[in-house]
Amino acid sequence: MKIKFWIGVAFAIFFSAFLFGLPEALFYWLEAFFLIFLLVAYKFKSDYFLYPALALLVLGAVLNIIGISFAEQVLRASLVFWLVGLGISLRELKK
Amino acid sequence: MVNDFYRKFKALLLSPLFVFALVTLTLVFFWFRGGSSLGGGEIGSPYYNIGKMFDISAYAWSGILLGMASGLTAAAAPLYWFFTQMQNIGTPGFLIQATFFFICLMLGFLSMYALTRELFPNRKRIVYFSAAIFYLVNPYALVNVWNRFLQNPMLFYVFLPLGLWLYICGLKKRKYSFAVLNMGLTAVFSFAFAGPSQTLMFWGLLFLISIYYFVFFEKDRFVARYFFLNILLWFIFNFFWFSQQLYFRLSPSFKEVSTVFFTESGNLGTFNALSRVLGQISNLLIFQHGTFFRESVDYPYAWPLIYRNPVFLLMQWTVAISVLVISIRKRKEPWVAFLLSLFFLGIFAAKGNSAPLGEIFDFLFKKVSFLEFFRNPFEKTALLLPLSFSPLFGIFVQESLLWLKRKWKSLYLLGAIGIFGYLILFLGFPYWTGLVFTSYNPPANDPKIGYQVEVPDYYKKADDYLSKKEGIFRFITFPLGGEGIFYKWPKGYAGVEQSTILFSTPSISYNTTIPFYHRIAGKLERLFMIYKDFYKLANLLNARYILFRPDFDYKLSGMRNPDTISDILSKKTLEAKSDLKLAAEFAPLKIYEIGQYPTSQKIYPAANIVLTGKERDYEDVFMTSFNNGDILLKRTDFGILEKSGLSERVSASIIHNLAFYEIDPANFPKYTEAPDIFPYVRRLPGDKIFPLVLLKEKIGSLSKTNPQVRTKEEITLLGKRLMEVKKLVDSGKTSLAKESLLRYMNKLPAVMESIDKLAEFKLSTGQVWRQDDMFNTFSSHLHILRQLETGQLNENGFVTEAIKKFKRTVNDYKILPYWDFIETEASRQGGKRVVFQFEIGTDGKYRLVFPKTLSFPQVFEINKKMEVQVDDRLYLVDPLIRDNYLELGEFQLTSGVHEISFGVPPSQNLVNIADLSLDTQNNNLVEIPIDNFDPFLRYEIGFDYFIHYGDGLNIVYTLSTDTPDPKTGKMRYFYSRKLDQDEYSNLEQSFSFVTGPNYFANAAVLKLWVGPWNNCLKLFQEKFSSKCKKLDIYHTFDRPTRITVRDLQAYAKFPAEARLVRENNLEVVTNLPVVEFERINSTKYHTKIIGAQKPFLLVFSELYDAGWKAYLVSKDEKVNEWPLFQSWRRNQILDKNHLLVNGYANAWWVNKTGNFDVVLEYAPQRLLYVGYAVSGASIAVGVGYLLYKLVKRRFS
Repeated sequence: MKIKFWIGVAFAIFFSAFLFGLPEALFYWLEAFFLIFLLVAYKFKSDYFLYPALALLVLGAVLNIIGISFAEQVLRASLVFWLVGLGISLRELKK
Repeated sequence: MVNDFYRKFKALLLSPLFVFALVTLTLVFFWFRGGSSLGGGEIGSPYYNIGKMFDISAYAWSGILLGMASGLTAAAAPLYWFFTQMQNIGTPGFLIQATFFFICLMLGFLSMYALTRELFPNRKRIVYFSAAIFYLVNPYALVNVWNRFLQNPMLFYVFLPLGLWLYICGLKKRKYSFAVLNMGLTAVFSFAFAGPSQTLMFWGLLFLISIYYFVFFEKDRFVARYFFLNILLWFIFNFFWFSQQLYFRLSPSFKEVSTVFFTESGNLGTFNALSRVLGQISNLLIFQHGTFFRESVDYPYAWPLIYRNPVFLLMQWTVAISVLVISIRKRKEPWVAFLLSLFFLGIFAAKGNSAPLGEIFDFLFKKVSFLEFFRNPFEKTALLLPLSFSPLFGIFVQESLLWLKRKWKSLYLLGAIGIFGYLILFLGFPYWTGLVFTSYNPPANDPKIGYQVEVPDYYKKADDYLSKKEGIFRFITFPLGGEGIFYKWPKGYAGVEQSTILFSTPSISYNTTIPFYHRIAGKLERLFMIYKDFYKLANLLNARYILFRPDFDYKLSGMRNPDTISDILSKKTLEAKSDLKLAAEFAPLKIYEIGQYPTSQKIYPAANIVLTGKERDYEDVFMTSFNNGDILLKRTDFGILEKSGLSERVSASIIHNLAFYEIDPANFPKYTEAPDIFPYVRRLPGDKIFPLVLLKEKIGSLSKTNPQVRTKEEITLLGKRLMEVKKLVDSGKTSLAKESLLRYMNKLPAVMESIDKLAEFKLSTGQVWRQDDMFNTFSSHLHILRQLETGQLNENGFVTEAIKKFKRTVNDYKILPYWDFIETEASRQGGKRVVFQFEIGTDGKYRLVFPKTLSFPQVFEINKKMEVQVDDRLYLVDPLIRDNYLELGEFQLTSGVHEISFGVPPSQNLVNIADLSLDTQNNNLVEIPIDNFDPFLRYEIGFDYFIHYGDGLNIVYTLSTDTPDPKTGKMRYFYSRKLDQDEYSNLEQSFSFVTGPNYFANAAVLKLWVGPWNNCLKLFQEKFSSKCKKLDIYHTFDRPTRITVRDLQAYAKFPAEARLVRENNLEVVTNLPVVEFERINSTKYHTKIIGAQKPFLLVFSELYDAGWKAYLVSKDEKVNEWPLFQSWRRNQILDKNHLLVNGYANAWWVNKTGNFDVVLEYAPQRLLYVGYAVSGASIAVGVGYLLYKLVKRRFS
């Protein structure tokens, strides 16, 4: 429950950041720090990052196919999820 | 029996070797079926004469152009050696190239097959096959490997999986023999590592694999030992080329190349731009090049755009996402996790400094110098994407088919066909249609021709003709342009200029980024066109012939119209006492012999010496009485001449102007009111808040990281300081104003230094960054200071002293001239003045000369005495128009900085219409040619115009070299502008513009035209605007336009380059030693000096390089290629006596008399010999070790 909540928060930040016009570079850094904070604070499974990453990727792909330039921002955001997700996944593998 | 046969047959059919050989042979046969080799672009057409390529790469120095270190091409030697052997047994070039492609494709297929099988041994064969095919046909490989057509990235791409496979095999099997085999192969395929980025990428990957293997598979010291053994073996096996590269990278020539051609800010700019364009995640995830698949409309059938079709885009995204889904699900398999991580690492690398987190790459790029090799991050690092993705793609194929089999068995076959179709039909179609070898440049945009190249026979004939001539010489090719050329051959060619491959005789045929060479080649054609005694220059370059070639598209190539050159050549050959004669013709090529060529100018003793400030400026040769055997030497090397007693041989000294200003004296110092020069001042010194204002300014300035932006800010703040002084004076606060003026003066040097630090933005004339802006800014400052000088602040000459200091400071940085103009009767008549600043080293009498151009000085009315101001003195001089220059007096000058200025003489008006009327009904277009157009001069064109009614005036200045835009078909004019009606007034307006020298053009036309006034779009706005798209409706709103133009003038601008020449009137030297020489190879010359009566300068007309050494050897010693180290520990002529002469050549001060021998040798060749020995011996030992292991295994 807690996990879903935090992931929900992450997504909320992701979309609201664009709505409130946060500078893009700053947004990615915040996103990265937030995800890493989650990673450190809670022992998450990599699933909780990789699947949202995939979901964002699918969303980005759809937007890209229909020719909406916002696709690029969504895909960039997904990349941060991939980064953290793969990091945890390697940690899991080591265990 | 039958079953057994069937089984064996099936096994053969499905064996990777058979399948890939069949596919590869079919493709190669298809590509080369026309019997032509492929070429163009950056690679050129090396297979026309691969032996030449081997010659270039096998020695440390190659004789092409003016000579060149082979540093970067030494790695290609093994491959080219192999192909040269094929050529020697009569194999045609296209078959050799087909062999290269066969090797590449087979290697690519098999190595990815093997790597995938090694990583995932328990999977079906379809996994390995799919991975191998995907690796070779994915969009990254399509663009950056195959279509780009460069051989070494191609070889690296296909070798990489092989290297990784053998490395992982060794790790898994814990056998060092794999390291020996793997690194031995890197030496065989050394060409793959020719680029530093490839070497870095290879070792980066092996390092990552080692770490990963250590952490997740085997925590054992073996991993580290194995990794370091690989490095050691790689270094030893590849020593022959690696040592050359290292030498080259550390050499002064490379330093010059990297500082002159690749500035830090240039690298950063490229990196930023490429990251932005090619670093889009939406492209990277589907391996697409950012622009290739979007903008390649000029390719045949615009085939790359197919990949951006939404349906096909959906297909590519589906595959990419599916592979990632399956990879996530399988991530518990360590190699899947590794490949997945590598894939995303690849994305982060390939996107450069684009978001997200691009700041990390950006930071590293700025701090770690070797990362400059990755300034095109997509090109260099995106190969990680197909490398990591291909095995995962293989797994996806198997898993998805299994899934279909489980869920919808009936769809299994359809799925299999779909995957086959995706790989072969969709990704593979450019390969089996041959479209992969097409480009947007004509003629490669014709699918029937593509990259096919067939060199016409006349080149072979011309080459044979020149090769049969005795002696060592070069030839010069005209027209001479940059690196790119569009040959108009039957099977044409668009790419790098090919003379180095087409001819075995070295030539100067194109300009390229080689130190010293580029400045000479860049000016040669101009000097040939202007000066009669061009042979003097040809002698300095050891050039005996001129090759005329018209077989190319001059407009597309950005070169001069060959007809212009042809006319000049014909005219020159017909002249009395001509130095040129037509020696041979191989239509359409013509070879002209330069008549006054002495028998041997490759190595010769220097006669007299002309000292020059810019030793690469060959125009100097024509400014003095320059004789055969005379040389040009840098003024800064005068010390060596003095020491060696050769200073008496200095026949002339030439000084170039350091700065040039063109000033309207009636309006100088000019005041420009602009917020970036003098911003608004609210708080004045004395105000309590003022210290805070200064603090805020300081913080604001510090926060600006871009040096250009920061400097601009500093300049604006300096203006603010001066404004504060003015305001304080106006409000009567004199003492505070004094303090403020001191603050301004204290700040001035720091601002000047900031401006000077932007040296890389300095103009080629050596003048300051943003000359015009700086002139305006500091002219305005001077204007204010002069105002202050007349006020109460100037008590005790306080402001006068400040002005002196100000002028000295800004003059040091070439922003404003120092001396005030002396007012005379002539100067009061108006007109502009030109100011030239010189720095004199030695006191003496100097002539002021201006090199001629095609129409200079004739275009100026120079027919009476002129007033010339030298510093603060005025002279009346008689202008003298000589053969090669305009002379404006002779002046006695002392050492130090001097300024020479004079009023610009009137220029002829170069347009034959002064007034005209344009209207839409009768005369809507007027074309006015510029008379006697000279491509080497600047022009100022101006007129007054009055818009009676209607639309604005359109101006176009078009040159004979202007070409249409390939995409839109619209002409791209050199200059175009529309002068619209002023919203406020309806008065006559003035307009003028200045055009720069337009090197390659031979005619210019000014076009003025008017169109109808139309208010359709004003009437129908927003959603109704579509009505105006219908032309019949649109034109109903047309109204006539009428404009009159008055006082149309086109004037030549006075040249910005001047010289001061001091001549010593020496006699021609007669007692020089006789020099005979023999060329052993491109790195070694044996020279015999006979009858040296005095020490002398020995000139060697090969590109200057610190690696060239001169040794004294005993007289009758036999000198040839063997022994290799003959000159070892011999009496070397000291490096400090090694000079750069003639702007490019080597010379040594030989302090010996009598008869003796000198060996000239390129020292890095020794390193290459050592390299060949080290690599050869170690590879032999390695092969022996592998054979021993093999035999041992067989027998045990």
